[in-house]
This record gives sequence, structure tokens and C-alpha cells, in this order.
Amino acid sequence: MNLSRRDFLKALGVLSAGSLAATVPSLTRLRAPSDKPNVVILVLDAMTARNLSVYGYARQTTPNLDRLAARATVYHSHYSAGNFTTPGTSSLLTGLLPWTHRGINLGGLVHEPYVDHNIFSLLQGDYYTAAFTQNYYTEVLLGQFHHGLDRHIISSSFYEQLDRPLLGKYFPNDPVPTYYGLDDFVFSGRSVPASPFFAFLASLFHQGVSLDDRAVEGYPYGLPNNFFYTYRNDVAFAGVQQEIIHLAEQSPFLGYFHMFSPHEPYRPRAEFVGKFPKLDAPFKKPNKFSTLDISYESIQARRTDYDEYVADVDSEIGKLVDGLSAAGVMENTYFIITSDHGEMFERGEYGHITRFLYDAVIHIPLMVLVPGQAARVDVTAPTTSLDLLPTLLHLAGKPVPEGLGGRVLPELGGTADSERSIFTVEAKENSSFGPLVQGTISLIQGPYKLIHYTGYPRKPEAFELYNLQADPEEMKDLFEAETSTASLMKEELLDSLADANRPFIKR
Amino acid sequence: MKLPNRLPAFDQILAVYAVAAFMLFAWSLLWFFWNVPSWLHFMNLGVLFATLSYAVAASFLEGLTFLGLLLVVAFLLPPAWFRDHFTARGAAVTVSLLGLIMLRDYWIVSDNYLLKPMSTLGLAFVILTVILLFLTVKFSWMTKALSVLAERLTIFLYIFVPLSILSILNVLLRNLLP
Repeated sequence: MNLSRRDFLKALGVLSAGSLAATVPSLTRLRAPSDKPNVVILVLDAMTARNLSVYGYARQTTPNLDRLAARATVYHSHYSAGNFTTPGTSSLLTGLLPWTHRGINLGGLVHEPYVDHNIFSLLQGDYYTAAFTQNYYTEVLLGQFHHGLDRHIISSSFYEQLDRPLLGKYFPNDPVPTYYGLDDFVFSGRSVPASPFFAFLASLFHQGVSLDDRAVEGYPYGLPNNFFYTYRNDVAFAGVQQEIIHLAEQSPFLGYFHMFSPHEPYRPRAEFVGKFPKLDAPFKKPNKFSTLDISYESIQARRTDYDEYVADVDSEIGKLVDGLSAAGVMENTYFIITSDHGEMFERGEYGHITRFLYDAVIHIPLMVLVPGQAARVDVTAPTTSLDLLPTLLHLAGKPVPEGLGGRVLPELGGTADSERSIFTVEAKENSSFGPLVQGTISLIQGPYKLIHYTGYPRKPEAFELYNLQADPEEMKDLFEAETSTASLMKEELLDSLADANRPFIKR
Repeated sequence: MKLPNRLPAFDQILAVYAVAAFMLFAWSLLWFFWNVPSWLHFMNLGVLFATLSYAVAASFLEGLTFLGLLLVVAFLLPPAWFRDHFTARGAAVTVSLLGLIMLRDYWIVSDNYLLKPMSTLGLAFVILTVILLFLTVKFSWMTKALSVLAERLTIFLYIFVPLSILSILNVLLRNLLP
């Protein structure tokens, strides 16, 4: 069935209102009235702080974030705990480092003891909890956390064209196996379709109407695609706006909205294509460990595509916040804009499926629009995605459990600590049930960043040290030059890794 | 003519289903176990067996769907064309169609797009099926060989069917129990 955008939005409104009407009585029975403000977490997948003009990027990629920052708290040194979706999102939602929650693999899962240790479960009851994601790795995690969700908005809510039938929605009580056993397996996954005849029948119905990689009106590179369906950002963001407006009727609510854009494939609308002139910088960076060696020119071309796509997404963020302001939702809502990880265009690589932990792939945006805030507040002290959970618990007036890796964010009840240790862990090649024996770990402390590579074939052990204040582009390795700092940080990093590995080492 | 008269005998249906089920289950299990090493990085055995249940249940339904399609063809065509030789000709069509679809899927992930266009796949299917059917008409040993093959494969139904029933029960329990 082909729906026009207008039809779709109309239907969405009717369906959402209908479904909410059906659930309201039971919800109001469950929760006591409260004057707590709402919380919206908007995650833009693979949005690196390094390519946003709000953080000083040379290209004006984010005029809307620049505008919103005028009345927001902007965190300038915010880091993801992982360099791709699973660890990045798991850490954001559980407040734990990847080596603790163990969501370390591509499409991996959080270990059982931490399944009920997440933003939704810990705030459910005080808040009406709802979540939506366009990223299927995150959809699996939301599946794990579904007991903490009052409303799980299915991932394929705002699609233009499914790449293949998605069956998981028919098994809401069993989301994890249905993802692996059906949605990513039967019709086609990342490999051969496991059910060839079903996949063949499905392809008969999709033949000739796939909007995957063909130019369509307004999208010269084709429609955005999350590897399961194509979508239009304006429709998806408008759908999210409607969902948030409906959620406001359940106030206080906690809404988690994880948009796939600006994740690859970078497919901006036509009005953003060719928007930016050629960038003089950045210069070529040392490329010591990369397994790829993509040409500098090719990488810069991808950077431009990405920047155009970021500008497209930024315009949608602006419309979303303006729409929520007009609806009166923003008056009583903490609106958090962040990402799950960054994206890199340097050292012979682009993207984020990498062993690297340079800033481009872990330095992410964090901006909080606080109800009633009239002026911009800038926080330069380092913060991490682990801080979100304790901060939300603090804002909700709930005790912060012991053992969390994060702290309450400065300006939202916490205090700035420029010397605190910030870890990021890349360990996708390891079994989540064993010690981490191959991977990359970074430790940021004060102005310094130590990166440790361990267990890689041909590069078993290596360290790099950078001074991020003096050398934000991480060009000059100081590991051999600043031995005392390197030694202290190395000791802390290796001790922390040993502590994390201890429960998994068989005696 | 009554409906049962338009359909092949039960033992013939079972034999053709055995061919389809063997191909489909083998293919699905092959890719399942191809994924297992990476899944074992993060799945416990409970999730792994649940995933297997969904995959097996899907294969079971897939086999029935394919068989249903063949029975519709048998119902519609003159009996002498298909129904009267259902075991051999059904097996020939099953092997050629499923085999070509599997080859096409495998080739696509290997960057070989020869069979990707539906027209090419259709043409290949017609040619292969005509050859197989011609051979069955021309050489009685071919008919016998296909029939024997199909009947021998029914032995695997003693594995596939109980496995499917257990899988479907597991899927039902996982979704119906709170």
C-alpha cells in the first residue's frame, strides 16, 4: 500500500491517539500524579561532535543546534563509552562501561544481571517510559529492556518502504530471538536469506518498487536507509514529534528516541547537496594501525556527504524542537540531544566500524535544554554517556545506585571534575563471556588521552598518548616523551582492565 | 470431479514434501550454524535455542507453503501432466526451483548477479524444468530415480517434523506465557 506523506501523518495521529486512549486508564491507575518535568532523550546515530558547527567545526553544519544552544547547557567534552551502536547505546542506557554490561559485539546483548538495570526500569513508575529506535541493534537492546517500557514504539513505525517483511512486531513478548531468528535471518540478513522460498516470494512483491539506492525526487542519492527499510527524515521526525506530544498527556514521561540519521548511508535531501565549499582542513593524519587505506580524496568526499547529511538532520532537529515548543511541551521537559558514538574521516578510514578510539569516533554532542533556561551554559569538564542515568535519577529525586560508572552531570546537580577518568572500550572481537583479550581502550584524564591497543594480530600491545588541549587533532604521540604521565595513566588503565576481566578469568 | 481426485495420493505428497523439506531445512540449518560462532560471542544457550526454534518453525511453514503451491498446480493442470506423475515431476520442479533460488541467493552475496533479474531466473527455471521433465518422460529410469530419491528422503521427516513441532511449541510457549 502506498500512502502519501499526508495520509501517513493523518493515520499516525489517529492510530497514536487510539492506542493511547486504550492505554490511558491503566496507566493513570499505576502512577501517582507528579509535578516532575518530562525527559526526552534524542539520540542521533553516529553524530560526531567534531563535525558540528556548534562545537566549532569550520562548516556551518548545525545552524539549528547553534540557535538552540543559546538557551541550553552545552557539554564540550562529552564522550561515548563505545565506538559503535551496541556498546555506545548500552552504556548510555545502563550507566555502565561496556566491559561491565558486556554489550560489546556487533548486535550484541547486555548480560542478564544488567537487563533490569537501565534508564527505563529504574525510572518506571515515576515516569511513563517510552522508546523508539530506527537502529535495529538498539531495537534488540530495547527488546531486552522491554519490561521497563510502558510503550515500545516499533522500529518500523515511520518507514517509506520495507526492504523485506519484518515479523518481530508480531512477537512483542519475545523480541530478542525473533530479531535473530526471523527479522535478520529469514528473508535476508547480513548474509544469505535462510528461507529462500519465503525470500523469493517477498522479492516478487518488492520487485520494481524498492526505493533503496535510487534517486527519488528530493533525494539525489536515494532515500535514507537503515538496512531494514527506507525512510524520510522529515516523516520520521514529524512522527516522533507527534509521539512526544501524545506522551505529554502522560506527564511525567521519559521518552527515548534514537534516530538512525546521520548514520551511513549519507543521503541528504537535495537542498543540502553541494551546500558546503571544499574544506581546506583537515590535514593528513598519522595512520599507524589502520587495516584500511582509503585515499585521502575519497575520505574527504565522504566527509562532505556526511556534513551535508548532518545539516539535513540538524534542520529536522530544529523543526522538532520548534514544534514541541509550539505545542507547549518544552516548557516542562528536559530535552537531551546526544549520540551513541561518533564518525571518523581520517587515517585511511571513514565510518565507525573501526579499532580506533580517536576523538572523531568517540567525542559526541551533549546538549540539554532545561525547562525555563534562558541563557547558554557551557561545560568544558569531561563527561561521559554513563552520566546520563545518574543524572536522570538525580532529577527524579531517586537514589543513585552504587557501582555506576557515571556521575550526575555538572549544571544538572553534579559538580565539574576536570581530572576525572573517562574510559571508552572497543572490544567487538571478544566473547562477551570471557576476558577482553583483543581491543582498544582509551582513558581521558585532564588534558591527556591514553589509547591502548591490545591483542591485535601483528600489533599485540601498543600505547599512544595525546594532549587534547594542545593537540586536539591527535597528531603528536607523546607516549615516549611524557613518560611520567604515560606511566601513571597506563597503570590506571591496565589495572581497570584487569579488574574488569577478573570475573571472567577461569581459575 | 471431487477435490481428493484432483490431488495426488498422500504418499506422493509426502515424498515431494520430503524433497522440499530436506532442501529448505538443510539450507536454513546451514546458515544458522554459519552464524552460530558469532552469535556465541554474546548469546547464551537459552537465546540460541529460542532463535533456532524460530528458524526451524519458519522452515517448516516454508516447506508447507511450497508444497501448497505445487498442489495448486497439480489441481489446476490436467492430471496427466502433473498429478499422475506427482512424485517424479514434483521432485523435479522442487529441485529446479528451490535449487535455482538457492544458487541465486548464494551468488548474489558472492557478487555474481547472473540470476538476479527475475526474467533470467524465470528463464533458467523453465529451461531446467523442461529438461528434467523431458528426461522423466524420455527415460523411465529418470522417473524411477527421482521417485526413489523422494521416497528415501522421507526418512528425514522423522527428524524435521518432530523438531518443527517442538520448535512451534517453544515459540507458542514463549509468546503465550507471561
